[in-house]
Amino acid sequence: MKQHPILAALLMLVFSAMGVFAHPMGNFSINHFSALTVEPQGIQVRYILDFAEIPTFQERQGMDQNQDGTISTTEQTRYLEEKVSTLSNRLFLIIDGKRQPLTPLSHTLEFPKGAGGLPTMRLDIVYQTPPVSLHGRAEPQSWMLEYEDKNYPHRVGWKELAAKGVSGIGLEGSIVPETGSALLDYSEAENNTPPQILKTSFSFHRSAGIPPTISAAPRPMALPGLSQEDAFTRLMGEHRPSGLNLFWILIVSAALGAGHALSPGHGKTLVAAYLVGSQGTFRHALLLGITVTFSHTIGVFLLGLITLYLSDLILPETLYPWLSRLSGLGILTIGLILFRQRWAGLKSHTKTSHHHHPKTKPHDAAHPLKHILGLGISGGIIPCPSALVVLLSAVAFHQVGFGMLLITAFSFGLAATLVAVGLSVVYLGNRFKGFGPFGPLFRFLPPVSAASVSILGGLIALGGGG
Amino acid sequence: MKTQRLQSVQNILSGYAFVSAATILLLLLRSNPVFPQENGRTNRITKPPDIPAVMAEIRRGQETGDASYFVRAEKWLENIPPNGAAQGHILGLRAWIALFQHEFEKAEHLAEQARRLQPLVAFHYGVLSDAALELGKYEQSLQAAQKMLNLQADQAAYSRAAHLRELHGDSTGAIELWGKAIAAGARTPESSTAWCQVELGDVYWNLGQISKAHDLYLSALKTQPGSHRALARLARIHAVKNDFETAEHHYQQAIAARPLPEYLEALGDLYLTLGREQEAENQFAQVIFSARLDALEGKPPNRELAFFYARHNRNLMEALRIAEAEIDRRKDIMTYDVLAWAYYKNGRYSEAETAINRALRLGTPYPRLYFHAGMIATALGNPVVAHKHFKTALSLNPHFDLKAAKVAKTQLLQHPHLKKGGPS
Repeated sequence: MKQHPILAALLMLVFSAMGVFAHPMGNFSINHFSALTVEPQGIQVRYILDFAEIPTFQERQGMDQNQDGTISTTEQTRYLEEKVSTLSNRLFLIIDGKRQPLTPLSHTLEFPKGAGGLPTMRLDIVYQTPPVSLHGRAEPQSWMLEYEDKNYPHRVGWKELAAKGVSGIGLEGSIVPETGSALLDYSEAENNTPPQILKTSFSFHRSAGIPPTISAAPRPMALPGLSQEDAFTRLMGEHRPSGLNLFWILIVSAALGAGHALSPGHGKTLVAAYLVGSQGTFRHALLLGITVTFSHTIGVFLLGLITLYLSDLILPETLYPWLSRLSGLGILTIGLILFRQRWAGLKSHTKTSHHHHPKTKPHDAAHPLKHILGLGISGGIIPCPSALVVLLSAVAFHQVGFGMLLITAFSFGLAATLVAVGLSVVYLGNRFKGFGPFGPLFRFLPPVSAASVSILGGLIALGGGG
Repeated sequence: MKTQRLQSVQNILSGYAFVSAATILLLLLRSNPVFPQENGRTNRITKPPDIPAVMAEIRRGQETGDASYFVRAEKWLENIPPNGAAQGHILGLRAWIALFQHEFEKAEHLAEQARRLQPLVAFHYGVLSDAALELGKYEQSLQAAQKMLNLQADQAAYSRAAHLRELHGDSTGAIELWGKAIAAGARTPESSTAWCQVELGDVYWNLGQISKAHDLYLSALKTQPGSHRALARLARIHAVKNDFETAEHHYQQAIAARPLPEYLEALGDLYLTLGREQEAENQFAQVIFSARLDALEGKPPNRELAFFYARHNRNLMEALRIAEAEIDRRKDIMTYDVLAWAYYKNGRYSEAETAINRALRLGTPYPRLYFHAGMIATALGNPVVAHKHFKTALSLNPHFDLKAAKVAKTQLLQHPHLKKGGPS
């Protein structure tokens, strides 16, 4: 039968490619796998090493003690005995601070064919620690286990760990999976960087109810001032809008905004400090609260845009301190202007008080709108990192609308708190105006509150304040 | 008055509404990218924003010498849609991978394409400079490195400029720039402070300032614990100080991390010096095994193997064949040096002289080059030139090589009459 020449060439190509296919982890690699099984009889460690072609060649040179180019059974046995022992010297299994001896239970040595039929080497050893006494111990009945594989440090390769408890032993705080590849399947490395896990620690206990294994979930991006446990940020990552859920998510978002306004840096002190001395009205309180919230939201939008479009030129994290300084300086300036006007107003009031002008207003009363807007914008321009993360997550998830909705609900909550603070101050101010033996002292309130605004501005500019 | 106030509040609220609407629009557009970002300042970066994982993978490949990282990185690149700015970045990264795979012409071609797409991306000039350097196009390499430095004076740019200065004989300038590279710190995945510290140590080593070189290798080990490059060089220093035990230990540590042929060969040389021939032979067998493995995988033999054969008087015809094949791909001074040495060992002294002159054309202060030039001149019956070259090699670093430095000293002693009158 005549073979098709192209097909023959293709077949040859395929077979030669199969024959010379390099170790998937590279010819230099030594690949590690440890599987820990915690059981009442002790801790069993299945330890597998897969040597690629070059390290196999090196190991075989060491095995061939008479240098005759072949490895006899005696040479292999002697090598194995020594290897099993030296490898265990660099496996550290520690329970409650005490290193446990590892006794080999079994071992196998194979030489699977690698590139061009050259040998690779697979060593599979099972070690066992002495039994851990799980009874007769005072509470809490929990043991801390630490494990580290220090063999072949710095050598490239796949480095994997697995751990599980059996026979009523539960693990707590383990971040490694219960089972692993046993170095039989490297296909995951086609799409991911190979694992590099050589140590782990967890506690284990004898318990019917085994706590779930904790997985290492990816964290949101880190921005200054953002707590990793920020509830608002999690809303974006964990929930997608759907029906009634959406309503509750928005309510939660608004509630978080209301609560968030009480954390430092959200202008509530500013609102109070301004209104307390301005003889402000309910209308002023409302306007100041809303302005702070509006500029806050705009600040988020602008920073979001900078992050998305100009992050090659300006890093958002470097922008934060500058925005804070700018905002602080704005507040400081307005505070000083207010102080000058109110101090002048106080002096003029003192001079004219014996002429019984009953209702002298502070001078800033002439421009309340200007001052409220100025203060509101300056106070609110420092963007909230949580809201920014939500915005960026929304872009990443292709859920821009949902992200905007969340931020809007969050802002409503924020506004509600600030307005409530403002209204309370105005209400209390009206209630106690000229009241009791301290009545005359209320005369000093306008300049004192203006000074407070200036101090707050200064603190924000220097990196503090709230 | 009241109407005026109301008006100003309305104006401000309208402003907010406008900014909000614009933001929403831009964000919606961003989530479905339609903005071309081929040119302009937004592309003025060294790290492609969309594919940092690929860069990190290539960097790991560079650090470990493990080719599987490059294969993986190349595969990842195929899955990235080449739209917008990504097209330039993909080309740049493919060029970078080609560089590590010793496909220099391909690297130059791809980097040039990337540069055309993104003329303000410093990274592309870096790859272009590296590729031109390997192809022996030093002027182009200099120009590209200069542009990279102008665009972004960071570790990646300083280190290229420093290497070029050293190659052109300006060791002082090289020391200055390597210092700047180290001070700049590793901000991008294509740079590494430990790498730079070892390189600066090498400049001092080539100048015979062994104590400074030693300190820098120690610093590199501090920066990157277990650095095989630093360990191998520390071993070399201990060997010239006759502290053979420490030298052996450091070589073994380096080999345990990466059994690179150059480390195996150096340890073999050390064993030869100590008269431990069987152990030396074991190391050399590993060098040959690595070469065999490369050949099985279809990789062309490289100049290191040719140099190994030539140095150890093995497979001399093969050494020359490899060196001649390598010079077709790579025309830098070090490849010419290997070619010269392969010609010399094959008794083709005239061709060796032509090749070594090409290797010395930049005035690079590498003792090895002058030693080879001296041996070739000796073979051609030109003791005056030979004397000059041996003297230069030894004046640069009297300990440049365990075996070769001794030969150079012997050669000088054989021609004492040239010591006074000969050119220095």
